[in-house]
Amino acid sequence: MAKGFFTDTTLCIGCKACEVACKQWNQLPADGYELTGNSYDNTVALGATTWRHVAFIEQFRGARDGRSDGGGRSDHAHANAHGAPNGASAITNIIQQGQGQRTVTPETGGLFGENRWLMMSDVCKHCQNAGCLEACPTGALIRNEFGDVYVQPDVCNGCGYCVPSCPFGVIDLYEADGRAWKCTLCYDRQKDGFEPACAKACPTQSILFGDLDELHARAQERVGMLHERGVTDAYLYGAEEDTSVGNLGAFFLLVDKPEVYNLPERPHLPQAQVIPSYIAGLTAAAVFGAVTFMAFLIGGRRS
Amino acid sequence: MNAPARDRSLSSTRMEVLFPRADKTGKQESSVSSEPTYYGLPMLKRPTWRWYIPSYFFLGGLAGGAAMIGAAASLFGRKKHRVTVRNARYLALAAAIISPILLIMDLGRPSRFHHMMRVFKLSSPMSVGTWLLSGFAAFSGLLAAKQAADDDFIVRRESGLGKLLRALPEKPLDLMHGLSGAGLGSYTGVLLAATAVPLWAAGGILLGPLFMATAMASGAAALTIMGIASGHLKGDDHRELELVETTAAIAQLGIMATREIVLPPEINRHLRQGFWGRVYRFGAIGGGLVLPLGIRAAHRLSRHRVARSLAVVLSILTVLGALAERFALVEAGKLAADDPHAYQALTRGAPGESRPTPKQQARKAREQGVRYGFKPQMAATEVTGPEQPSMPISTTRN
Repeated sequence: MAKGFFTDTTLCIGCKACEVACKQWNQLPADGYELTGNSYDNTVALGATTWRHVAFIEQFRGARDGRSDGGGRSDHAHANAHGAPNGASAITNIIQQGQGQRTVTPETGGLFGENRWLMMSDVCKHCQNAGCLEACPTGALIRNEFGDVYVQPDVCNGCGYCVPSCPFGVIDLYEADGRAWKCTLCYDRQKDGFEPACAKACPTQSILFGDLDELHARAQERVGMLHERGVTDAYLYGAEEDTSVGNLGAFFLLVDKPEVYNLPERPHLPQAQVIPSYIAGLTAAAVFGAVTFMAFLIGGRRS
Repeated sequence: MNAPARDRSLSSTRMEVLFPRADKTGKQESSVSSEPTYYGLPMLKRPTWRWYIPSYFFLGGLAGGAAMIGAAASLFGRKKHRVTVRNARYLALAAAIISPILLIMDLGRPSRFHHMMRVFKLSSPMSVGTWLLSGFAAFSGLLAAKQAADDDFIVRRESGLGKLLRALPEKPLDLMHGLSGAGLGSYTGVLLAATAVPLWAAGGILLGPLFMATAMASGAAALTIMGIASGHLKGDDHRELELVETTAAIAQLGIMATREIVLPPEINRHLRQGFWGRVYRFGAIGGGLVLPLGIRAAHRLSRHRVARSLAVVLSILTVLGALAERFALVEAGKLAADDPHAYQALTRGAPGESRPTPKQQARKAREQGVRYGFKPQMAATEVTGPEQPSMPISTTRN
């Protein structure tokens, strides 16, 4: 039975305990201390030494909406002409616009009405059909007994082919040791019957770990409950997908378009192109082979 | 050694966050898409390959094309074509020695290069390529050694080894050399197509044929240069090579034009703008294809022969064009991987194939008769099943 994560973003409070627990348990090096100005997200992205990443999306009326980047709310429910440029103004705007819009009602259309602050703890998706695993030419990437995608550090030779083959931009080479690293779904902890460190540390149970079938049922239940309560844009990402990537071993409950969370709308398995491309390439080779053959045959006759 | 090209440290990412590229090319950014992104940050990881990889794509393709031509010349050609056969065999061996060095230098752990030999995976073009290159190198080595014995070069003709090498069956070796050369020339395009990088994945089926055409053109051009410059290709003897080179260059141009039509503008713009866009347009297409083809066409129309010295110049242009094409495609691909709008254009769902909408998902939940009553106090440990001793927060693994 495959194990995985269900990350319910409506429960995430952005505490980053999962990031810290992951770093601590897996003894991952620090990424430095730099401020990005992108809300509270100073982690920026998943990477070779960052296996959990909490995304912060500010959707405040009149704040960041005017920008092409940053979390403009994508349902275009409200005008976004008057854009103040940065996060500080976002807070000011909230204060200036008063308390009225904080009421949670189905009529205002979202979790916190017009203004909301979305948080999502992102992680390796442990795809059913994993691009990195298919691409790996050394067999370092395997699917382990828990159904998770795992890099064997003693086998990886750092060829880097898994990096552009991940449809979610998760796996990366670690500069300092030249190998590819990503979330192991705490393989070592699972072997001892523990849940992964991030799920253990999550104080709101935004991150749940367990059998995927069971998690799917619970997630469906949660979607139904949220709709009943008026959060009608809640949906599951990565569960019962018909994309070539298949279901995700780490799936999410989202309340806005996937792009808002930096997730692709319809991820493709890169290797779906392999067989047709081989055929096309070899057909071209056959054509050029025939041209060359003709050239030398005719060229031979000419003299 | 590996600092600049592979500098993917977070600080450089963060500099881009603080000073987004959009500020510099703001005009293009806003005209591309109004879809939301996450602070304009990349959705994909940028390929980590350094200059070794596009160089290998160029060199391996050139050698593969040359091997195909050499095999055809050996199997079907006349005595006057033996010059081309010999040049092709030596060229293939040289490339077969340099290529693995380039590939191994790019590895994060070069000492583990042989881990590539643990597996054979059809789903991984890199694994297929490893074996193709190994086979190609083996056949190149045997044929070049045989050629050396024939030429009384390094290996004495009448020595024991020379006799043994000259006794090797030529035709099957030539056939295998040509076939492995065809694989080597085309698989690199498949390797790029089978990634998530928008510029490579979009219209990816064209990349294999494009790389094969480039391989043939540059292989024929390299053999022309070698033959004429060494003085072995006399008179009109380079005309067969010229025919192959011209045909392949026309095919290349056709495939590149098709790519321009097929690729969404959000993706293709990385080949149309910036430094690598210029390399692609003026280097690969203009200087490497249109100029030599145009000069050849002009000669043909005016019923003049291309002078031998001019033929060498045109072939040099073709080879440099192939180099420009490989570098531009790989480097512009890295920029496309950084561009969330390009990846969104690649992964946008076609109408009618989107995932179930929130409403459909909720309806399904109701139809399945699930009761709403999510109990947040239900510990995740219950999901896992087995009893779990609690872990003190301070515990770390040694």
